[in-house]
Amino acid sequence: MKGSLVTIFCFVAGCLTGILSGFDAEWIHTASLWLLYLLMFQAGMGIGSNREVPSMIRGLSPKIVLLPVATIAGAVVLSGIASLLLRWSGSQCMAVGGACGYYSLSSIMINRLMEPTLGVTLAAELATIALLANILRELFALAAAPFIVRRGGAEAEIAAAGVTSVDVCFPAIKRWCGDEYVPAAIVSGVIIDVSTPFLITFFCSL
Amino acid sequence: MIEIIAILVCGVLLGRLLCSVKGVRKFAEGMSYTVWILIFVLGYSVGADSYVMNNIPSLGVDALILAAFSTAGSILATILVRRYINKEKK
Repeated sequence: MKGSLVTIFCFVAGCLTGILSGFDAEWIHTASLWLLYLLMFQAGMGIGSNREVPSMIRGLSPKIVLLPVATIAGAVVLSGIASLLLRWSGSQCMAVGGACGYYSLSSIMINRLMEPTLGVTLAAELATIALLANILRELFALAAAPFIVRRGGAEAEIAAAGVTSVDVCFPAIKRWCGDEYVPAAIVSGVIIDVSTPFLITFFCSL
Repeated sequence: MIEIIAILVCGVLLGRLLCSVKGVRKFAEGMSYTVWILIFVLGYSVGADSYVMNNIPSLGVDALILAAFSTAGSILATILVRRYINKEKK
C-alpha cells in the first residue's frame, strides 16, 4: 500500500516539477536511460545472488509463452472494442493498446506511421494518447500490484505490466508475485518488447 | 533492448560471483528506490511537455479509456488461459 502511494506521489511530484520548471531538458532523457541501466543491473544482481533461481529455470515449461501471447491478444481485442466509445478507428485503438505499456516506442512509431493518413495534427494526437495510455498502464500495474495479484493472481499482474514486466514493474512483480515468477516476467516482457514494433506497424497500415 | 538484457546478464553473473558478499542483497533490494526515481523523472518529462499538458483535457479521457480496456483485456485473457490450462490438467 505504502509503495503504491509513493509511486503515485513520485509521478505527480515529477509532473508538477516539470510543469513548474517548464522545459524538457536533454538531461532528463539521459537520466532516465541511466536509471534504467541501474535498475537492470540491480535486478540482475538480485537474480544472480538468489541460489534458488537455477532450479526455477529448470522447472519452466514451454507454456510460459502463453502468457505474453494472451497479454497481447487480450489487449488488442479489448482495445478494438474500445474504439466503439472513441473517435478513433479500431485499428488505431489496437495500435495504441497493443503496445502493452511500451509508451516510448509506440508514441514515436504512431506519430511517424500515421502522419501520411491522418495528417500531422491527428497523428500527434494519437501518438500522445499512446504515450499517456501506456504510461497509465505502467503506473497502474506498478501501483496496484498487490491488489491485482490478490484478485487475479500473479500471471494477471505480469500481464497487466506488459512490456514493463522486465524493467519498471520487475521489482513489484518480484515482491508481490514471488521469485518463482521472475523467469515468466522476463520472458513475457522480452517477447512483448520484440513483438510491439511489428504489431504497431501492422495496425497502422490497416 | 539488447543493452538492457546485456546489463541484466552482467548483473546476474556478478550476482552469482558475489552471492556470499553481504552488501549484494541490499543493493539489489534498492530496486524500489530506483523505480521511484525513474517514475519521478517520467512524470517530469510529461509535465515539462507543454503539448501534452495542454491537450490532457481532450486526449486524457481517450488515453484513460484505452489504458483501462487494454489492461483489462490482458488480465482477462491471462485468467482465461490459466483456467483452460488448469482444466487440461484435470
